[in-house]
Formats: sequence, C-alpha cells, structure tokens
Amino acid sequence: MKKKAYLGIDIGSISTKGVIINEKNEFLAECYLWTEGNPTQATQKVLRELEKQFDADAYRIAASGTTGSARKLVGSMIGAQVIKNEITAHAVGTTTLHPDVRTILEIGGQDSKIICVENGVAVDYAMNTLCAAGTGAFLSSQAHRLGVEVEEFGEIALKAKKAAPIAARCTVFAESDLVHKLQVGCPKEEIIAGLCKAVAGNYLNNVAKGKKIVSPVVFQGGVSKNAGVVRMFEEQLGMPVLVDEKGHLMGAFGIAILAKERQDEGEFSFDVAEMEFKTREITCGKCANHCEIICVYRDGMLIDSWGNRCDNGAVRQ
Amino acid sequence: MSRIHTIGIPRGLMAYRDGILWKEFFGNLGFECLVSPKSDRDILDTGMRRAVDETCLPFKMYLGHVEWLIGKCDAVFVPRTAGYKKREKLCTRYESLPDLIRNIFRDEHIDILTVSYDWDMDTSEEKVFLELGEQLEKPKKEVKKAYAKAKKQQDAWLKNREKAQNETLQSSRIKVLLSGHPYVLHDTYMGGELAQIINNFGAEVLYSDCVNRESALKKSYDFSHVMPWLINREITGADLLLKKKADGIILLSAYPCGPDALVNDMLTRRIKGIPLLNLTLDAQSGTAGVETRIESFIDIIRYQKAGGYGNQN
Repeated sequence: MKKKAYLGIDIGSISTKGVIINEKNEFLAECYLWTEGNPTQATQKVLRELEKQFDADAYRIAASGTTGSARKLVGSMIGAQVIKNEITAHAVGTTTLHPDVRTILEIGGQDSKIICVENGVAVDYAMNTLCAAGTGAFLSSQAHRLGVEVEEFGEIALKAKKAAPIAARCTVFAESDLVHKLQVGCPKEEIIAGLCKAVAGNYLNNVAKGKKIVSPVVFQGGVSKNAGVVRMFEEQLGMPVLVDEKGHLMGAFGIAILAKERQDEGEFSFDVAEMEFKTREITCGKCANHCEIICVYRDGMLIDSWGNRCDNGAVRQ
Repeated sequence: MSRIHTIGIPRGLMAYRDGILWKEFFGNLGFECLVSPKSDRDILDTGMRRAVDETCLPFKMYLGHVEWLIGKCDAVFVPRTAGYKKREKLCTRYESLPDLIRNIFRDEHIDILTVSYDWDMDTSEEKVFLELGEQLEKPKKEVKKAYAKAKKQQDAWLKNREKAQNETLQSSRIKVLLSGHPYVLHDTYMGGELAQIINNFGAEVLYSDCVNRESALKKSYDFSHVMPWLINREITGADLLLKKKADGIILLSAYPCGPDALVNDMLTRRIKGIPLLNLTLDAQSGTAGVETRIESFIDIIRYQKAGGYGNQN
C-alpha cells in the first residue's frame, strides 16, 4: 500500500511555493517560483515541478492545503482540505522545525509580519499595512535602479565599510535619497548596505513596533536570503538571527502539516496542472454596495465564487 | 422654525450613540423624523466626493448621509457637541460640525437645525434639550416632558443592549470584543462587515458600547486621569471591564483618528494578558486584508486554548 503524503501550496503576491511532505514531516518535493501576477498558472507550474520530484509509486497525496494571498482561489482550484491564513501557516511550519522559537520575523515580496510565540504557539502578531515599503518589492526596484541583481545585494552589502544613511519609510523618499547619495559619489556597496539597514530599521520601527522581540529569533521570507539584511537585524537587535535553509518554504510546509493534522482526506490529482482555469470579476448591481464578486471556472464550468456581502449577490453554480 | 415638520437625522457619527434620544425627543414633540438609510458604497462615495482627502472615514460617511437627506426633509439635525466636562470632551470634528456642514453644502443652502454646548459652559443635557425645544417653538413644559420621556426610551434601549451582551457573554464560543467608536462599530459598511467576518469564523462579537456607560466612564479614570475624550474613555473603560470575560480584543479604528491613534497605542501597551489586535479601516474596498487579519487573530485565540498546533509530539 502506498504511504501517505501531504501537499502544501503558499501563493504570495510575488512568489509561489509548494512542498510535499510525508507523515514524519520530511520534505519529499519542493518548488519555489515567481507568481508573475498569475496565481493559477504559477500553481500549475509548481504542481508540474512537484510531480517530477514526487515518487508516485511509493506515495499518494492524502490531503492538501493552501495559504497566502491567493489561497482561496488556488484552494478551490486544487480542492484543498485546508485553506488558512499565512500567519498560522508560518507559525505552524516554523514551530515544527524550531520548537523553541520565540519570535518569527518575516519579510516577503509585498508584506512583512512578526509573530510572537510562547510555548510553541503564536500569541501575538502584526502585519504591515497597505504600504509595501521595506519589503522584497522595494529592494527589487532599488536593485533595478542601481543596475544590480537583487540576489547579489547581501554579498555586496557585507563588503561595505559602513552603511549610507537612507530613509526607508517610503519608497518615494528612499528613491530620491538614493539618487542623491549616488550623485554625491557615495560608493554603491555603502548605498546597498544602507538599503539593507533601512529595511531592517523600517521593519523594527513599524511592523514590530511595540512587540517584544525575544530570542531565539527566526527570520524568513524571500528577504531573509539577503545576508545584508540579516546582519543589520543582528546588529540592531543585539542577538543572533537564525535563517533556516527552508525558510522560504515555511508557509507551504506549515499548511501541509495542517492538512495532515486535519485527518480529513481528500482526492487530489496532478491533472489540475493541465486543466484550464479562468477567473472573472463581476460587479454585482443588485444593491448600492456594488460588491466585486470573483468567479472561478474550471474548463468553462463555475466551481467557486466569493466576494458578495449578502445573499443577493450569491452566484449559483 | 414653525415651518419644520420633518427633521432629518444623518445616520453617522454620534447618531450611533445618541440617535435614539434625539429621535424620540423630536417624535415626542410631534415632529416626523427621517433617518438616512444604513451606510453602503454609494453613500460613502457621495461623502468622499464632498470631503477633503485628509479627513476621517466616518466624517466622509457622515457627509454622504447628509447629502442623502437633502430635499427629503425640512431641516437636517447637526448638533455641535463639544462635551460637558473638561476631561470628557469630543474631537474637533464635533466642535465644528454645523459649520463644516454649512460650508461644505454651501451651494445647496440646506437648513440646519443645531444646538451647541461646550465643556466650559455651565450647562447640562437637559438644558441643551430645552434650548433645542425653544428653537422649535414648543412650550417649555412640553419640551421638558418630551426630553424626560426620550431619556427613558434611550435608557431602555441601552439596557436591552447590555442585557443582550450579557447573554452573549455566557456563550461557550470564542468571544471577540470589538472596541471602538460606536459609529465605526455599528456602521454596516465599517464594523458591520467585521462582525459578519468574525461570525463566519465561528466566534461571537462583543461591543465596547454595549457596556454600561456610567460604569465604563468611571472605570476609565483608573486608566488615565488626564485623557480628554469622552468616547475614548467609554471605550477604555469597557475594555477594562470586559478584559477578563472576552477571549480577545480588536481595537478598531477608522483612518485617520487622532484620539484613537493616541489612546489605542496606550491600550496596546497597557492591556496585558489577552490577545489584542489593532485594526484600522480605510476607504479601500474589498475585505480580503481584513479577513486575513481576523482569521489569524481568531486562530491565535483558538490554538492557544487548544494548547498548541499539535505539531510537537
């Protein structure tokens, strides 16, 4: 008989992550790629990649879960048993690998969050508001301006003797600050170190404001791959900051574990990677609220819809 | 003023706190009252077109309600309420409300029925209502009676809400206290949406303004002697009174609110031993961001109660 495996997908605004784990929470397959503004296609690509790594003769997928900003859409697409917010997913994933963790710092493509943990369970959290200053998207746009790949940022920042002061409260201010620094002949590596410092400072002064940061600290999300930001966090916090090698997959890992624990098995087939999914946004005209209703179609058939505030806007399948 | 038959009451701002008193008072004096409908996207959009960008969301909503009433009543009731005590004032919006409305709707020449009181005047609620009745050319004796009756009607309404909340407190489900200004909590397009989301996640909603007002106000002095705002006092007092009975508190604010910015920061630092979430609403449509935040918050409460995620064997 085939052994049970669990699928977790984390669809963020910038990247989509997928993992398959076994009963012992060991990784059987993993994938990380860009969402490129199309969560359904990104998910299908992730599924194809996971299928390649997956030993279908030894295992079968017993349950699946989705998290991240497109969790609902992808959840109905793959027929997930668990659809949950990224705070819980990250907390579950991280506390599984690091049972003693007390603070989780997370900076992703367009959002950042802090999760405070006590006795292996989240007790408090905060997320950034609408503004994406100091997230991965901010670093990418600055890298572009400097003509450097964002992946190289960390290495370059570590070479700098000092960090140039840059205001990171707002992307617009940061950009004009950066142009000014370039024009007065400030070395590029100092500017990059300055950006990394600004990201860490901005995070601690905004998202983490008023939160008690207790060691052990785990830092994850795409930006945790930037060694420059990691060092700035360590300097500003005065404590070690741990970056897990699988840190970028923690949301997908966490939701896979939740799917496992739910013990509510459901059918899953990699065939969804080949089906055609379309979403349509319709504005309901039945009352003055004009709700924006999202309809999801699989091969032309409506499979799910949401966004209506009241029953008048319910879309019948 | 004798040509007034129908008085319009915008369903916004202090109408969510004192609206029953106003409506019953006018009704007892023989006037028709027309309350604008519950908030929706159209009302907000209308208000936003009228308002300057920087003002708060509830005020923009209020403007939409005022505009809805134009042409449907003989006068719109817009009181100037600055507070009765030095440490129990209201925000500057209220201190300038009739002037703001008169100027914003300058071209429409709307008739405003107003009354004014301030914390540095020697006055009382009853005196203010007597003044209002005098403006409406009603005999003093009749006005006094109308006020007394309206006050009783409001008390009954408040008692009922308190009673209903006390019943909710007995529920075995997770109880989330929505803490904020009444016009944010109960507006269908603001707090109303949140209550729906909280219910959908299987939790009960408690409100900071369904607590006995006098007790809450009194309790707030334990928290701060100098805090100048009446409503923030009522909110703070309610939070302290319900802290042990609720499973979590959501400090709900509508952007941008000066008093909330100060007081909620203090509350976040000083209320310990209960999960607390700061949530700020703005005019952005779509509830996805809010839903994620509430779901995360309820998960925190739920898994803490369960003692963990079950992932550590």
